Amino acid sequence: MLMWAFLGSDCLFFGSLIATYLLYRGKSITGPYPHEVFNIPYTSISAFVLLMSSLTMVLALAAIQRGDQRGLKVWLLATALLGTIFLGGQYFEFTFFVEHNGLNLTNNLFGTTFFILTGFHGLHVTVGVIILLSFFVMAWRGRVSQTQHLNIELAGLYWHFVDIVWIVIFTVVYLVEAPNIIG
Amino acid sequence: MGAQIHTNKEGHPTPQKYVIIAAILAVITMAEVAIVYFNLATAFLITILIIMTTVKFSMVAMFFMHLKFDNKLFSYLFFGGVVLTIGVILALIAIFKSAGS
Repeated sequence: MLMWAFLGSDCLFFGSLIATYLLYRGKSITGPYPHEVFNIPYTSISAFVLLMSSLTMVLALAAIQRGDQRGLKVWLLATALLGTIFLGGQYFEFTFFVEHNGLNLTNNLFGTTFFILTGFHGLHVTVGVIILLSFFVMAWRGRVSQTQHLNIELAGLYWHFVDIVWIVIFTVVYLVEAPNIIG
Repeated sequence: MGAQIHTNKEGHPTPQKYVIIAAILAVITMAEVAIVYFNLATAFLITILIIMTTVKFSMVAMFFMHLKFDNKLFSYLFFGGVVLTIGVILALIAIFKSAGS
């Protein structure tokens, strides 16, 4: 129950960041602007990767619930790998924005609100990957039994929450901007 | 059998069902991306995107997070937070708009 209360409160945290992004959307007086930097196909692949990691996460839970230790390890590692690919994509995106577009945390309102919102999401994903890898190591050493599936379920809830937040960010930040990019 | 949800002994969907749900989510994501390339009116486009996002959000919460099958209290705690969040976003936008006008 505490996990659900935490997730409900974390919704408010991301809600305030999303609200701030929306409030300052279009208020930057100097560039670079969103339509100059966003690459919708690239971010779509990242969104797809994170979405599929929710599938592998739930398959890991299903595996431990039926006592399938090998399945647990495979799907936990797959989830952590997909999370890492997402983070790598975000790192590349951030680096590209800074080095090629000259967008950083301080040069306009878009940069500040964008990096804070997506950066905090990336931080959540990083914590999730660390949790998943910890459980993978524990499973590898045979320390996750079928009766302890609740621990995997809690890790899964956190991971799905991170995915849900990205579902919203992908639409509110990237897709809404697409008409301006495509023209 | 067709529309029936296949569940395991814990009441959660089977792995096959999870794969089907993920496939539906993937199709909706592809549709989201595809639709922005059509020359639609902005208000209409945003409405469609919000609907698709809500469907994806709900599917992950209900099936992958098992809210559909768990105690209703968990749903109240989580969706209470979501509703409060939407309220905060709308209130902040309203406050800033009135302050700016």
